[in-house]
Amino acid sequence: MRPICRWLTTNGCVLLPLLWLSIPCSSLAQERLEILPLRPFNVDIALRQAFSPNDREIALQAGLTALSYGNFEIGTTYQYFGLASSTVKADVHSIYANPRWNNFLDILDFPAGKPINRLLRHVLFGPLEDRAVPFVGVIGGAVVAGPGTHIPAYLYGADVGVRFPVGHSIALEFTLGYFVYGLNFEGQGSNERQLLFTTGFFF
Amino acid sequence: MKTAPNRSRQRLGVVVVFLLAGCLAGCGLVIDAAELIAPIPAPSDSVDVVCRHRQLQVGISVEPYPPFVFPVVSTARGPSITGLDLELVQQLGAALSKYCGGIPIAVVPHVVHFRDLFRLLTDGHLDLFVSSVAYNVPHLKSAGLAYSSPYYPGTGLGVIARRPDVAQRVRAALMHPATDGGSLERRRAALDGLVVAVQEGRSAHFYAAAHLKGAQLLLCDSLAGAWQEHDTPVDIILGKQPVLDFLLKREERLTSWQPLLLEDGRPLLLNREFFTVVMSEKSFRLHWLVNDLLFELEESGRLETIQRRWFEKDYHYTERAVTEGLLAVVPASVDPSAPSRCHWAKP
Repeated sequence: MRPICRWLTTNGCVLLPLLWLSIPCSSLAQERLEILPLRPFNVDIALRQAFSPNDREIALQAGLTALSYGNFEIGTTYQYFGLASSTVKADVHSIYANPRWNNFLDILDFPAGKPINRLLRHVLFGPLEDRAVPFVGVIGGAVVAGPGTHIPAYLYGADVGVRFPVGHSIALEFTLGYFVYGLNFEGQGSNERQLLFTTGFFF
Repeated sequence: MKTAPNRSRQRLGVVVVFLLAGCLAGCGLVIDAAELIAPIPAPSDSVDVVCRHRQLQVGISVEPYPPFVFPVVSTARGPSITGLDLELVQQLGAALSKYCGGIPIAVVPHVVHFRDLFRLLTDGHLDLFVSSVAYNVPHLKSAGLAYSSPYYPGTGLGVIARRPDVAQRVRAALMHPATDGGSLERRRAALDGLVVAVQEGRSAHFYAAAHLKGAQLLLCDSLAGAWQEHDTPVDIILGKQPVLDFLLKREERLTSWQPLLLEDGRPLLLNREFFTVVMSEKSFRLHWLVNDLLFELEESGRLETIQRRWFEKDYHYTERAVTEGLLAVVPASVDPSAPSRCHWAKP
């Protein structure tokens, strides 16, 4: 578990003070702490079936919001990958927490004349600059892969993305996540790494 | 060469794909089937959140709109804010308190930028927003939000002029016979060639950008910026008529300004606006509650009393901020005392 501890310590040192600084003192007492608000939640399914024997991939991901406090949000996600090919055959079950800092760009609300956050929002999101919720987060959890060993290993990573609230409790979200698994997908040692881009609706 | 078990597995995979595709196409029916077993609970409404936290988070515009929202005043208790809209949300707080079973509900005004409204309401940071917002403004910024019944009689965008010659020029242009476009087209054409100051990001800005193509547009953070000295002097200010009317009577720096009137003495209006309380689209119960309260206030005559109290009585807003104002949450990034900035709109 040493790598994850080191990684979380390094990132925590940067992310948490920034998050703390981004919350004005006057608003600290006024933010509402919501435990298990559930929303937004998501269910994503991906299926790839090749027209050759034993070559398919199934991905299933389901998540919900466990805690929210102002621009701070903790999501929990269950992720499943079923890989089957002539070289790899694995079932990977992961469960992880995903603390997020929403609207992190707003910490750059200076200088007064032309705030950097407004400029970045305009450059990144164009006409939807006032309707986008950019976020950055860290990922930490456990993973079990099979066949083979069933001892849970660690999983860590980070993600960055944007949520566009569409209306009627539906939001469109784009996320780029970087995952490091404490095993490879065949259940043996060494770190499997994965870059995962997801896009979908949140309810 | 494919073996028989491989082929059967491949066929099974294809069948699974088609079954999943079928399930996705009919996922609405899955909800129907689930509801046959047990009714699916409705998602938590913002009223539940208000009752649970005993707080009503209200957004107030950074830019003041006297007498609906006055500038933030520093008091011994902290930054305090007052105005007609604040009295209205206090009434709403009392109504919500009754709805939540007698639990006292504290109204917490947050000073926010209008541009952030959609995000703040949709993400649940705010329960509602008041600052003389008109619901009938066709613009992206107005889309995707819910608007209550109006709480102020139908008004509109009015105009004030700095110099008598400008007022005279507009009046003369209004005398021209109506064109095919009708009286509204004539009113818009009367403002051609003038330097028009508006508050950026609000209805006057959207209206001017859409209809006053012949005018030179100066976009200001607040109305106060519009009447300051600029390199090119501002000819007219376009804004909410009741706000302009109130400022002309109370603001010393506007003594040289005058309202633009029609021949019959009525104010020159360019549209019709109805001020409403803004909420998230999904706050259905809160929406009902706000509408019910406004109906009650109107029927009982209390709404008119509130309006008279803020428009007609002689008072100074700083005193009212001290005696009856609500303590406001002012984010670090918002400086209510910052001087208003203006810039020219891109042609």
